[in-house]
Amino acid sequence: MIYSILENVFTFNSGTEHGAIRRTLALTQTGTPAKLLLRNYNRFLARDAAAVSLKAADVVNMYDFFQGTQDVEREEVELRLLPQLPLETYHIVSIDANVSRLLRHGNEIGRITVMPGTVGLVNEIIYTDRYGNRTVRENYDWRGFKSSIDYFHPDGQLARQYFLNREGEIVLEITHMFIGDQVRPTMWKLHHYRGRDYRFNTEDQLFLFFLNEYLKGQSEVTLISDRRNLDHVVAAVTGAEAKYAYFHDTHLDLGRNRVLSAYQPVLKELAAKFDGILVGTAGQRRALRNQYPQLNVAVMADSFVPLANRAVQETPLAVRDHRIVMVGRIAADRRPADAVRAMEKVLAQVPDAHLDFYGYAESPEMRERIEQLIAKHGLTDAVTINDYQSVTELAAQYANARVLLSPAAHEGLGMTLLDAMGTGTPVVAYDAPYGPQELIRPGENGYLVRSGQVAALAERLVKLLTNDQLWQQFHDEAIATAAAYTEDAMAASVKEVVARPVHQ
Amino acid sequence: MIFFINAAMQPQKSGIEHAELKRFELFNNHEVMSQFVIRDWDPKLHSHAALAGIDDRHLIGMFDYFQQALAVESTPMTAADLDLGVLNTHLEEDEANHRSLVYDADNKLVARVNYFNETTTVRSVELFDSYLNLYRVDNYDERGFVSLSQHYTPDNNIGTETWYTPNGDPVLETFNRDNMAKNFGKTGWFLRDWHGQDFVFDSIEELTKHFFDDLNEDNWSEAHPNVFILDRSHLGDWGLTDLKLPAYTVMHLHNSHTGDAQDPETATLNNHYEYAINAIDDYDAVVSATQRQTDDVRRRFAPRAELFTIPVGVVPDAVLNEPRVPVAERQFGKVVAFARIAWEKRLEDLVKAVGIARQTVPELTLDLYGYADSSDNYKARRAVEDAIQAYGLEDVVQLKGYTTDVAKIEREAMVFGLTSRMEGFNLAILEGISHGLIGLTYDVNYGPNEIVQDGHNGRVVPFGDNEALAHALVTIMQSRQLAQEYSTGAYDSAERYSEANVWAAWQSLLDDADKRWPVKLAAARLTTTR
Repeated sequence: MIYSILENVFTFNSGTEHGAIRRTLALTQTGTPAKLLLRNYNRFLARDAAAVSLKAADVVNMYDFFQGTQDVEREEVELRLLPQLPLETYHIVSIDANVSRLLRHGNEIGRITVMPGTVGLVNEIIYTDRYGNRTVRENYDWRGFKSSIDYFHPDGQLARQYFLNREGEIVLEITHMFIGDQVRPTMWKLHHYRGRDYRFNTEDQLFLFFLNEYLKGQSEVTLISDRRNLDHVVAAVTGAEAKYAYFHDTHLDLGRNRVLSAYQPVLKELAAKFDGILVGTAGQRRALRNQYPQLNVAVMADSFVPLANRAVQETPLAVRDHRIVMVGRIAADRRPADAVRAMEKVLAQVPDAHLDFYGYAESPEMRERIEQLIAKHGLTDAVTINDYQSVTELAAQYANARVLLSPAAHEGLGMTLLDAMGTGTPVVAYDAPYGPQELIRPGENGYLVRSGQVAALAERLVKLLTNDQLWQQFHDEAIATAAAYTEDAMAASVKEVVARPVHQ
Repeated sequence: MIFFINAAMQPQKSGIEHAELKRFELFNNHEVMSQFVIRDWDPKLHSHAALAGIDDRHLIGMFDYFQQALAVESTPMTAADLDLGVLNTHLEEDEANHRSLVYDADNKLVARVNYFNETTTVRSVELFDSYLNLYRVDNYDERGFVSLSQHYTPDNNIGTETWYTPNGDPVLETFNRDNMAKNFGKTGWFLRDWHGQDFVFDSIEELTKHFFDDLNEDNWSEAHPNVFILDRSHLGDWGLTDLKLPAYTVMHLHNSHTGDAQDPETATLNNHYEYAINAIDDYDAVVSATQRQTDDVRRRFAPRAELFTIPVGVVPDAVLNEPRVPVAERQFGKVVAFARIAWEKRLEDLVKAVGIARQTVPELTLDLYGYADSSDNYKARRAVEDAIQAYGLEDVVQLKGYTTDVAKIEREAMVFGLTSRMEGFNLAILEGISHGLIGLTYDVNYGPNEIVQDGHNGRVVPFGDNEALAHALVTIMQSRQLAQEYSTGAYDSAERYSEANVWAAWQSLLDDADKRWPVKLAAARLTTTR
């Protein structure tokens, strides 16, 4: 069994999650047992996993494990049919589609929120005292059962979280008290786990306990640590045949050519606990081997082109119009400002060009900065910031564009580049390590531009927007390049590494 | 079912508990089932009740009820049984504080374990997280389970409090919060998964009303109403009058209904009874212990509620049949009083009366039995001590403290003295006359001036007139014949409070409850037969 270790499958996932998710999908779809092991509490996990095509059996969440709720079928629970609300005593009065008030003798005693994206299904019941202080919050899982109960300190900060099994019994609690002068989680406690209580000082200690319990008695276990903050947990797990750390992005602070602090433990003090480091490109492997000659480093595929993308790769130019897309987090290291500045120059020559961002901003401030920049350059009509989109939705956005713009400072492999190319959309990117250099053959299936050369970016974009014949060549070559990245190839790549321990 | 509603059943009991226990005995003797309904949380409720002769079958603690812990086999928790969820702990005894300290392998404090007095049974466990925050105190029921957890806030106040079933399921919670004026206190209650439903309450009164409704429903019968006897009005003077289903509700006066007991016509109402009296017609019945109080209530309020006079004291047949001790065999001049040394008992007046009378009858002595009330730094005891000093009675008056050897003492003394400011009944003087003590009392409402019949079993002198009291005392002491007449009268007058007489009074109340029941059922459209 090949386990990939993550914090979570989020509603909005980054390339790290997508890499681990696609690895698991590629393996299970080709008949190799694989699962994701997840640390974070996520009562929307069933929805979020389904959104990235994962089946219930593909994920094991720590909280679900202790709650005994891994295999619960979804049931729609309407807030007006909650059996615990005595409706001969309380009124439910709807405010809008998202929230209802719970009234007793005309006074509000709580609110019921609606499960996002549903009509009238229960999400939370939040009780308040007669002064409006929150007292109890009951949280429902997407699958329609009461999953946890929260209590609050008098000042409104979270005080305790209780996690329940299907019988409604408390199986795990988190206590929030002072660490210094901040209220933080200070204790995780399992109740009656196999007849005993267990207390943990950090969530990662609990995660380690979970991994050891879950893996107990299993054989041929391979663990792949995808998140650097979980390396120390994976390192301490007992009873795995092999452990690897997968780097989904550059390990270097490129400006200063130093190893990023998050990567230092696994490359140094924890290195002996791992059988090797896995990377998505030969370029990153070379860089690591140069600096750490004693380390085992292997290349293992980080992605495949989803069927949804391949299905729309022949979308005609007429549909693609003069649209450019940029996909990924809106964050400083993705250089969104360079994209905006390049667009100003593109518009001078292609007045109907349009740039669409797809992705969540790393912070509200970041989004505001980019919006201000767009306004300042008078590009409000030409540049749009769109919400995060699912993998399937994104396939359509790639297919409806002529070019993917990727001015990122660094990439592991660059899943968006590969997904775009697999949709027949050529890429204009900065010449950044490691993915762009590996995926793009300049002048054949895309362009590489020296980092920071905004004018050059614009010039390459204009070429691909205006020269249909050139675009068609690049389009064909991009598809050809991406064709190698299939589920089968990814699964084979993983199995090869696992089957043959990494050797220098 | 017949319920006696009280707050607690502590080892140190007041007149109300004694009255309830006598009633309980009477009901048991007549094979009529009754139950004590105890509203306040007490981790030792069951042993306290057992001390008073109440077993689990006759006891419903409100918290026990919601905790589903009405009858739990006792398996006292010891420190060794605790599961703190931490490996490799060790225990250090802190004998000075009667507790143990639990440390982990790194000698970091994990818990402090406190014990019930003079036992190794865990009373509470103070729990610390690894940052040494006290995050919770688990309070154990003496029967060996966590009954109440007090969850602490980061700044060391009690935030939420949770009560559990013996299996550890949370069932009841209360929240401590600031109100809008930033005053910290209880702001709400939450009853969880109670027959599958969740309920919120603003106050313990609302919770208590819900509890009464549950009791009424649990014990529903078309043959007889449930009878709720409210022995402490603050526990349910609102809730009982607002029940969902009909019942027979009884408000029991255990004290004067006016603040100034001597002015029943016009005085401001006793605070404890103010609400209940104002809502008097919402009850089916009001019980007073004396005819005098019943008459006063009827005259002033003219209630529609039925009024019953039922003595709260019962003289057991065994006592009535005891051999009588003639005055000649008693210690001449021995006056006794059985009362808490408290402001409302005004015992300094009795001391003064003895001081004055002693100038004529030097054999007079006075023994005071009862614990001293600590209010205002033992103000009442200091008043008694001042009177002793003023009359030079250091060798005459003795403060004996609390005793359980009442009968023996009363068979050896002559006079029972009483100088209270007010009374609800006064079981002590009833017991006194039943043992042949001559009653000597101020004309104080209610009880003493009915239990003592002037010129028959003793003397009733004007309220607050200690010289008259002294004079009466001298008169009694100066005539052996008169003293014997009064003592015989005392023995005889106790018959009014025989089991048979008091039970007859209760029976009339229960008859009234049954008589009204069909009409109540019909009015509530609850009758199944037509």
